[in-house]
Amino acid sequence: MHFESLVQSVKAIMITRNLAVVSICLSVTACASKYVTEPPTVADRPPLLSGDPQPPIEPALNTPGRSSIEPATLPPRIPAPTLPAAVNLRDQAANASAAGDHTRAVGLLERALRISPEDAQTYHDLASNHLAMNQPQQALQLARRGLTLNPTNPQRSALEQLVSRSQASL
Amino acid sequence: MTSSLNKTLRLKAFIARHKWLLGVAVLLLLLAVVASMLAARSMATLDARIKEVFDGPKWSIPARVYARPLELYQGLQVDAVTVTEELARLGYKPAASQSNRAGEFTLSTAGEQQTLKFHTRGFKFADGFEPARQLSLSFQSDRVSALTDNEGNSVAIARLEPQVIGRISPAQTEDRLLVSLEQLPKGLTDALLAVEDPKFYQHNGLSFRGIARAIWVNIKERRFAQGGSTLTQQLVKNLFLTRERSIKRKLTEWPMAIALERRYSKEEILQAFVNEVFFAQDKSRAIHGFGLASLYFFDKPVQELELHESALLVALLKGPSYYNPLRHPQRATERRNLVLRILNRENLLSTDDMNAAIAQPLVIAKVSSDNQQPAYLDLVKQQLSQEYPTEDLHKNGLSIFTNFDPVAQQQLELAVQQGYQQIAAEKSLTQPQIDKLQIASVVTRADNGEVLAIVGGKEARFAGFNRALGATRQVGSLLKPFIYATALEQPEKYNLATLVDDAPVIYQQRNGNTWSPENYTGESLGPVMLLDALTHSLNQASVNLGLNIGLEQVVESLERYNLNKSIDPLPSLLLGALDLSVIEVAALYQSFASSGFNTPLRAIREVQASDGQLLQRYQYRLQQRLDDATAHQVTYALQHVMRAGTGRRAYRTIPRDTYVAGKSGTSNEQRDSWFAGFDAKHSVVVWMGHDDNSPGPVTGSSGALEVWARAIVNLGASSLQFSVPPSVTYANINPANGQRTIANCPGSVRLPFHRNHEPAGSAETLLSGSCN
Repeated sequence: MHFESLVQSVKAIMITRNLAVVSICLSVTACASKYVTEPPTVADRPPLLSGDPQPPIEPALNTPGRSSIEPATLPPRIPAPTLPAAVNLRDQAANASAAGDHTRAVGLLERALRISPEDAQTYHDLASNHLAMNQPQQALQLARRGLTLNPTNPQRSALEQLVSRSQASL
Repeated sequence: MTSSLNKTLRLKAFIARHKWLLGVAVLLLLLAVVASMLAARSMATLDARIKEVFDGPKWSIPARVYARPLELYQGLQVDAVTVTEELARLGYKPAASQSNRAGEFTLSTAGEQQTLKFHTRGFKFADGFEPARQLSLSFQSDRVSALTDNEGNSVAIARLEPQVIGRISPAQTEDRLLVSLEQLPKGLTDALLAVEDPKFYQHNGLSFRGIARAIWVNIKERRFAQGGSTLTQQLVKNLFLTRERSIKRKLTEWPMAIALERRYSKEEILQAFVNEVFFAQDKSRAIHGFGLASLYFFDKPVQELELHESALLVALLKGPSYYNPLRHPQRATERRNLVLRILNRENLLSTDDMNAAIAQPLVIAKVSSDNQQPAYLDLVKQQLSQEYPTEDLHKNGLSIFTNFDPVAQQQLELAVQQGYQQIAAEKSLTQPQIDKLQIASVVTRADNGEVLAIVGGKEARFAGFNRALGATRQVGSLLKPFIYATALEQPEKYNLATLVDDAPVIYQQRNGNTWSPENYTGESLGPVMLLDALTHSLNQASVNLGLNIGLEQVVESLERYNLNKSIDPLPSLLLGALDLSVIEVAALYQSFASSGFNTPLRAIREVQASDGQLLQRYQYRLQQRLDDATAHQVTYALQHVMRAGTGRRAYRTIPRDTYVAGKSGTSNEQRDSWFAGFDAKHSVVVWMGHDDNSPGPVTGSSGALEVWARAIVNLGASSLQFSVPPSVTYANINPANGQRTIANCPGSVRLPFHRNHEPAGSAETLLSGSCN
């Protein structure tokens, strides 16, 4: 309701505002050039009017590569190989888990994750230990996190299975 | 017969004449019975008291707090210098040639490759025993290229023992590190017995020769000066009795010593003695026992003491203050040499070995480890106090294993120092201005929320007010990403290309007043894409967006992050009118750093009882807060802030090919300067400002950002690498109207969207390929 009254007042000054934008854009030359430069150099876009004070960057301190073209998207993930140490801990955890010592298994798997944090398999093993410890909520969340880590197809289906088993135990 | 009768008669007559004698005899008999009963009872009382103290926990031992153990494995990104420094912090010493003892290392270089050989000490961890062994680490281009044992076999993983970073104790406290007799080097036990109690294994608690000598000395000096004590008596005195010297105390000490010897073996008594005995006063902490004394004076475990070091510890017993090696090195050395000569006299040490030991200089390491990491310890205490009574922490000798990372702490402190230098130079700050500008910072692991390092103030190693935990300050624009994330969670309504009005806002408050925030520059930009509004931290656009979403919904959304606070739905909230501590901000940003999962910040890994039993594990917990598509878009937007917006100054410091995500924050009149953000491995929050909340000299981008960027670089600047989740699609957008366009239209940008929720484009543009 506040917003509606707000919209009214904003609409009332719409035209003046649009004129203001044009004049601002004209006054900031690079603002216009942004849309004709091909391709856009994101880092070189001019400082717009900012809600957060932004000190100018002294040219002397600019790195030489400053005007280079920035990729528009995040770089693709190069999956870090799982290190042998993490695999070793995961194997130890599997033994502990088989012996019913899930607390120890969880500790070992958390160590494995510190070494190779982007390993969907370790998340899978951690989730299944939590499920065995009757902690389906933790198991569910860990399996979901594992699914965000580019699992292989077999890993994906194992993780999805864990998700549904955890949900069933909630 | 007659004579016997006579005798009886005479006795009867005697008794008849002295009737009182019978009374005396009976009385004496009774007295004797009562006295012996009383003595037995008092012996029984003494015995019970001895048993109670001796069988129970004899001492209050403060909880010890440990840093994370350094895990070593092939592929670990670390250089030889860092590992060597870690070994040095643990008291490892460079080895003499060909030496192969626990606690020693050698570093050698051959061409590109460095090799670090060392002999670990072993440690009992909650998940198993780490054996003491000889290891060899090879490094190549700042990575561990191989880890092998002394036979050249490859070792998958090894852990160094963790460093003690502090203890949790009352203000005045005794401290000790319990050791067993087997851990003591032979030279130490020999010296202890030879000097303090040569007849220890023969006497029954008292040494009559000692007592005779003591009586002689006391008569000579006409005061009660010497006790002629056996080790047993000294133990009784320290463990059961007050410190004053008096005959009365002596009279209790003797029977107690005898009672102790009757009940316990010589080994049990000796073991208690070596752990009880007082060595030194380290500020408010009293150093007791050979275990802790060895660490305190020589920075190494007692097992590794050399003979001259053992002799010094034994020398101190006669007068820990009088022979204090730090204050009176000459006295201490002379008495140490006397101890060595006694060993030689008793045929326990050859003359050659004695001379070699006497030739050793007095080298004292003195590790005053009282609260080495006060800021981190504050967080540990805070998290522990929720589950453990203070008394348990002060008394029961718990071991607290934490996530504290000494390397990260060192790098953060370095970043603070570098940041101050740069800020002072660029802002031409005067010394009083620099002195007044305070700082607090927290570093966590990006993936799991483990707290690695904390700076609680400008003097990082000073115990005192911990700003990272204790000061709540206005967060300003740091809050904006959470408002934008709330929008992005509704893909049917908002996306990064949605136009939002950066136009004056007039908000009618319930009390009738109006609220109309302005942009920092006082000007408004008109319709801008959500992405640009966040990138440049536009106030009016953010307020319009927040009001459009709905204040109640923004508040509800905020409260579902790691934030245990109830928030008032006031419009000023949209500009960050919310007071939070650095650790609270770190908890909020952790959800962004760990791909949209709330992961509570954890300082503690495990708590172990003094007998090594695992009491508690603090598990890695997580709760998905943002779906993966929203999380991806938020990260995209925050890295855009770093490339093109209020964070771009960071790239003066951070390598340009490194992707990082972050956001600045500045409160009114620069009272608070904030920066929060993360790379692939670490999440860092920095606050700068004045303790009295007066306006400061720096904004988020000119103050906190400088320290933040250096922290990211010092910690290794690990570029964000994101796989595009299947739920995300990228599309080309014309920033002028937020509409879809085609890739080769001028100015078009490629942005991520929830799949099936990309913005529309004019059919004309998309079909014909002409640009709009």
